[in-house]
Amino acid sequence: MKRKVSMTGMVLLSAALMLGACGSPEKSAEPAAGEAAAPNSEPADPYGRYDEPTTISIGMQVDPTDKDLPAGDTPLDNQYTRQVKEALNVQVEHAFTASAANMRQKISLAIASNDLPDALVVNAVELRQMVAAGQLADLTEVYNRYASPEIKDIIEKTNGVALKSVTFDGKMYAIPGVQADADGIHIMWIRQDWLDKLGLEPPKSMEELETVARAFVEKDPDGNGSADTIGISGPQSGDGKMYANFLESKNNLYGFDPVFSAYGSFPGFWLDNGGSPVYGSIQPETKEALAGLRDLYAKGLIDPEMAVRAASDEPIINGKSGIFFAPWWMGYGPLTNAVKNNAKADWQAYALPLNADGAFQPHAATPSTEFVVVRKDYGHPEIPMKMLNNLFKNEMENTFDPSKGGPGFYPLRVVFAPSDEIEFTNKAVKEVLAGTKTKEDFADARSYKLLPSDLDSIKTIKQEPYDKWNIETWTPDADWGAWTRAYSMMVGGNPLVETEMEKVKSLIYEQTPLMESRWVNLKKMEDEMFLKIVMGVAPIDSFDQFVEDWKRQGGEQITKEVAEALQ
Amino acid sequence: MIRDRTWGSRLTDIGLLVILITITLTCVLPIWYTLVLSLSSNSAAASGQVWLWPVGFNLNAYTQILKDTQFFGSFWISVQRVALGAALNFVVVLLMAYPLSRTSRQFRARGILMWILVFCMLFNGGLIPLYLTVKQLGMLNSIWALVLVGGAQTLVFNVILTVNFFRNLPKELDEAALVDGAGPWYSLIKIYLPLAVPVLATITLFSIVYHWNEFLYGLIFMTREQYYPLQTYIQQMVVSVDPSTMSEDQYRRLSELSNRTLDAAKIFVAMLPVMIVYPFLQRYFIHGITLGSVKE
Repeated sequence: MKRKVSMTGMVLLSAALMLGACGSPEKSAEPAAGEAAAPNSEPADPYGRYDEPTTISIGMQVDPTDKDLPAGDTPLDNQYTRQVKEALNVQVEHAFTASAANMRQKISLAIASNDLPDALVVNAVELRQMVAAGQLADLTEVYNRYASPEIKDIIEKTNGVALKSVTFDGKMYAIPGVQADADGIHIMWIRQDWLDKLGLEPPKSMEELETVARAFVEKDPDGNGSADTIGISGPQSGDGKMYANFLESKNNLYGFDPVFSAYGSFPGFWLDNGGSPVYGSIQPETKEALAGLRDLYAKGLIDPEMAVRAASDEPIINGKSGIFFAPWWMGYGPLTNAVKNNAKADWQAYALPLNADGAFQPHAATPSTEFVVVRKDYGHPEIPMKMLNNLFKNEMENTFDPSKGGPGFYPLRVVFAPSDEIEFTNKAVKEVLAGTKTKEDFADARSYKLLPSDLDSIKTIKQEPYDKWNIETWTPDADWGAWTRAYSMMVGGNPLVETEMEKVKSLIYEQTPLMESRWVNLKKMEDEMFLKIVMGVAPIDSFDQFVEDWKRQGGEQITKEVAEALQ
Repeated sequence: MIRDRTWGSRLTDIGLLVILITITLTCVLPIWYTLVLSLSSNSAAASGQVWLWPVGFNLNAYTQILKDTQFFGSFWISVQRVALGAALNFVVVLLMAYPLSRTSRQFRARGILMWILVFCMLFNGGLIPLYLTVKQLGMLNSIWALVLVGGAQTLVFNVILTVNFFRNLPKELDEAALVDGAGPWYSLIKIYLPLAVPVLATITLFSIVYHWNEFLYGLIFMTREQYYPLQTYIQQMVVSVDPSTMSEDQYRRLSELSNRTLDAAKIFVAMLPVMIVYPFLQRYFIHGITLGSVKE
């Protein structure tokens, strides 16, 4: 380890020397002398332009079906790359491009063959692999000196979570992106028109959830004369999960996250138990929650085809399912097609069911899932940071025209969203609809990048009364694109704004070293066992055996390792 | 034709029919379903209402394909790949299989070469070394990476198949040719090649289908979409993406791009060439073998 550190130091030093020797691009901003010496902590110009044209090769995600770019533009030559060239004198080159589905494979190949581009956007697992392989440049100094104040502000507002996720042995090896908190809060989506028809209220407790689900299954809410409706949708086969976990802590569609938390159970998360870490899946509350789900499944109130159904969104779209659990953005999910199919399908969202104390206590996600990394020997490790500064500045100033290619075409783009973007936009839209504020009042809230367009379009798709959000009050046909965002933001955002919630964070959101060899098997055992228990294949008491096995097969050591990592 | 009219044989007939029809349906239905899906409206397809007949019939998906330059670019790459790959496969297999089908007395190195071939069929270096090799040879983003690497993967099997076919041909033919003064080249081209039409048609068909359907090498050796062969282009579109690491504007993209009918239409168009080529090569399977050449 020591040797690796000194190697990194040497490489950095030589990189700095090279930087000093060839052209010293920062000449105008600071004295050139002494730059190659001891770490420099003086702030540098975050937007400094290079005198000499400088190139950077990157790996880039490009979606093949994306037809946004105007004729003549390419992923390598568009308004974003031209602006980067203009502002920084940096020429972007593509080492490789791939679609979202294949990006992971391309990056794994690049890591395994040590054939890396100069900079890359990676996920947490890839980041850890690259750090372990000693492939990355130390960005501590780059971040301290070059990060713009706005970006530093957003990163630091995560209470150190974002920084911790990229710090290894005290060194920063990546620039973390920061995403809105809302993606990690799973809420209940329910057919309000079915509830109204059957004279029911949104279910507040587990008992009421059972009553409502039974009514949805037995009382023919869609009125077609046959009992073909599903109470609660479940995870789909293949990639479906019953709950988000500390490694994939957000955006779990059609799982049971709020049901678990109603029992005070947070499976898949690392929880604080009087100062020492414990794993949520082996707690007694999880056994209770599994027993509860098992009961619902046995009574036929959860989709009987759960975990074998290929696409859980199908019954939601074709009006056969009454309840599912997912984050706020379901307008982008199945609801657009559901409303296209049946204009009266009134999906509303609630922060329910509540736990025994009458509180909604969701688990919270990590703010950072995307990281910008720089290859170790790259001569200008500060360029990616400058490109991100430049991106954020120009997004605030609305330099770019999204109709000429979406922001995804900006090279090395990661999201720096204020953590409360959904909540803030939701409130702003309500105030503008109520007439208490106008668009101009939000002119200085520049870090909420999409707010102006949200406020412009809301009245074309939302009709009075402005304090009701049922589907009859919307006119999606006027602009489906705007409706998708606004419906998610308002209907999905309302529970987030209106509910007092105490979010439960995982103590860590990354793997520890031992997990790399053991976690896949432990998680497989957990997933299979829990599914068997819920579906009634294994008795509920096999949970106790699972806890024993989990501890014996490495869980106990991993728990110790987590405790050490937290020191 | 006179039929045996016993109940037992009728039952057997019916049983056979049922089994054969079931097998046929398992082959035909997925193709039919893809076609039906491609002709339906997108929201009906997403809700799973489409089954054996189009719901909300329209041709939008096909008009969209006609406007998609990347689709045709990839289609053309696949056509080139198949033409080059199948031709190369034909020549190399023929030239390898003939000497290897001689006896060890005629061709001393035969045993070692066969062992090397079988060894390569069973063991290989894995993906990363393969990638590094192709990179060092400067074949990234070149069609030869697809033709040569893919070709090499299927070559051994094809050679062994052809060697066995040659060895089953009557020795007397070879001897007769030798007596009449034919050298190895002459007897390969005038005697073995015409007799081997069935097996050569088979391996050519294997090669065509393989090169047409293979997508992984396109993904690995091509660093830009514009060099992707057709199946790689389609693969990246129909593989689902895990939302747990996505940001909001990525979902927006995804929701705008997710289009099951368009995907189905592309898959259907991509199936057509092989479906058209198949019947033409199939007749060689039956033909040729029946040609009597020697009386024993």
